[in-house]
Amino acid sequence: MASPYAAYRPIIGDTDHDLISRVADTLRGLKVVMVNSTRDGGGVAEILRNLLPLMQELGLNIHWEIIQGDQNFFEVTKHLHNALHGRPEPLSQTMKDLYWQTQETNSQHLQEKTKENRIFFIHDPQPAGLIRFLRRPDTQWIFRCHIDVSSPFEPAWSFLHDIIKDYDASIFSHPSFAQKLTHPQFLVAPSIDPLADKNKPLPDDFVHNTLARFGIDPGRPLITQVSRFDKLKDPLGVIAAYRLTKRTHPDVQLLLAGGAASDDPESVHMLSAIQETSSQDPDIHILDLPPFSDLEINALQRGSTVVLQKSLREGFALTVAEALWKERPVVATAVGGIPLQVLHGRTGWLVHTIEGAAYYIRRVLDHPQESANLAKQGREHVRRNFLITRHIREYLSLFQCVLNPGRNVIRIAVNSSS
Amino acid sequence: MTQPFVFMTSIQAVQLTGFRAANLAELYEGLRSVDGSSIYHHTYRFLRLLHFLPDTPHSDFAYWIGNNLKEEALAEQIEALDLRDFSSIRSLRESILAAVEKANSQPKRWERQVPPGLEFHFCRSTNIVLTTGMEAQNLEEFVLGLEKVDIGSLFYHLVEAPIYRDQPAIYPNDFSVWLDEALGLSEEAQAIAQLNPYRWDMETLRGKLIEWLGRGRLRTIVERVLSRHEVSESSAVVRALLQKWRGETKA
Repeated sequence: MASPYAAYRPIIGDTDHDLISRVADTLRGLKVVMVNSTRDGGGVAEILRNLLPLMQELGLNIHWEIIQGDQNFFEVTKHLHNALHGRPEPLSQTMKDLYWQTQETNSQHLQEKTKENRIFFIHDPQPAGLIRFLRRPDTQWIFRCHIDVSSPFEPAWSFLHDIIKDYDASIFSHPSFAQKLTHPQFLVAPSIDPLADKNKPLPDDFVHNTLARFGIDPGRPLITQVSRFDKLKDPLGVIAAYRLTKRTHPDVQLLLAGGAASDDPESVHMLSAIQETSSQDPDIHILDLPPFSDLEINALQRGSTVVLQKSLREGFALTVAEALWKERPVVATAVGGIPLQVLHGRTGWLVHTIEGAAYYIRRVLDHPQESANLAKQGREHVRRNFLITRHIREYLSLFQCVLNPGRNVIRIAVNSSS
Repeated sequence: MTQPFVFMTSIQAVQLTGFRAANLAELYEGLRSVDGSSIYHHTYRFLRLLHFLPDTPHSDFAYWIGNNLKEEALAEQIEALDLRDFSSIRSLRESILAAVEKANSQPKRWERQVPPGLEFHFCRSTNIVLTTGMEAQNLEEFVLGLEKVDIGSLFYHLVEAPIYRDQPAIYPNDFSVWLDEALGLSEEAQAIAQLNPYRWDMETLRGKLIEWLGRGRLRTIVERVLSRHEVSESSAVVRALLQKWRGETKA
């Protein structure tokens, strides 16, 4: 259950807490509908689950809709997702037809929403095509892209571009994702909720018992990667980095904790490949966690000696922010939004290769004081820049920009009683 | 009646321009052609967002030139620009351009590319300005406001608003202007004008402002007492103390 807005005051401080309330007050009653493709699994659903109740409490009239699709539709959108990440996977005409049929079917359910809402806030390509069926002149459409589209497979980008060119604004998570678009493109990093089950403080014995429950020895160093079982998260590269580390630190253990999202049919195949690769090593722990295992993930991250995020491509990697918030030393690849969170040598270590990952894992293990200092700065970095409250503030700023287009400075009037 | 000081603050919406640079030639072209709000964003972003980290760089341009392009000398030159010397984004842009342009005579430097993925991406900021809900009619209320406002408000009045002024003012920040014009506290106005907002993180700066004005507040109380009462021999002691005080606050 979401925490009330007041609960964030001790974390972000009075001034920032009040500032967000004041900005929200200038948008009181604004009707917004957020649309994505799943309510469970993955970072997008998680953000929306936490973000929406807070924005509602702050006075916005904001709602969440999901689109429905069958297994074949999600195969198509996964295909598109991979191609936007750069994998050369063309979309066949049959796939495109299925995409558009699903958009049309869903648009019929959402038709009423166009009469009620001023802003349509569409997350990722799965529901992006709704604009073609639902656009009305008095509505603003915002496309929120959570994917790393810095080097897309061109036909896939062309397909998406034809859709989002009709939007009023786009949002990306990293400057390198910017595209040639005629409408404004905003930079908004995702966020974590410090009070959600996945990030709230936990008693030490709960952490200890959770590790033990999953067969992990709490007395030995633990390298952890928490991610979907997905090629782009490079779980096999994680195992390779662990094996390099194991040569000099034989007591180290590895945990790969993940789960399958309902819109990610590939994860099952990847999980089999990981299990096959790691089956001979009792110190490699593979956990296929069901949705809503947030307390367990929280405990596993807190019980880790080093948190690894060895992604090959990444939209943002909320797992990095989660680990930093828990003051865990982080080693992560310099892809997507990770360099925004891991400032090399200041809040963690950025790497580019398996060998680099192993080198910095060893450094963390061998230099606990240095690692603790970086982790402390990492938590403060997240507190200031990657919590859900900052996310709300930036969405409120964005709404002001969309409602006041073409201005470098927007002066907004605040009700003096607020 | 004294014109009240209205504490404003600002929040940003960062936009991507789609303009990227992989070498000095492209960076120069970007610096020359992007909107002033982009120069502003890349110069002041660190100060606003990462001021709490030790040794935070001041400029995205310098950081990228030094870390990604490995042009350490040029990075150092841009990092060393004293932002207090620039009353407008235009003059700041010209100085950065002048520094970068020096490399133009050496084609190998000018066109040497960064590895893929390390390009510079020009962004820009839209500033959304609003009141904090706090106003000051006198010095005590002003200090109280300084204690309570968000970091963005300090940044707005010390750095941001002067850049967007239509007309030049005698002081480089809003606080000094009001202290002098509304309260006649020219000494305090001067002292705050001397503070370098780029030298400390914003919380340290807040502490220094409050410390200065706390002294000024006591001084005004003493002066008020002295002006209302006949100065006796014994008050010469007070006068001596006041003189000493002034000496210390100017130090």
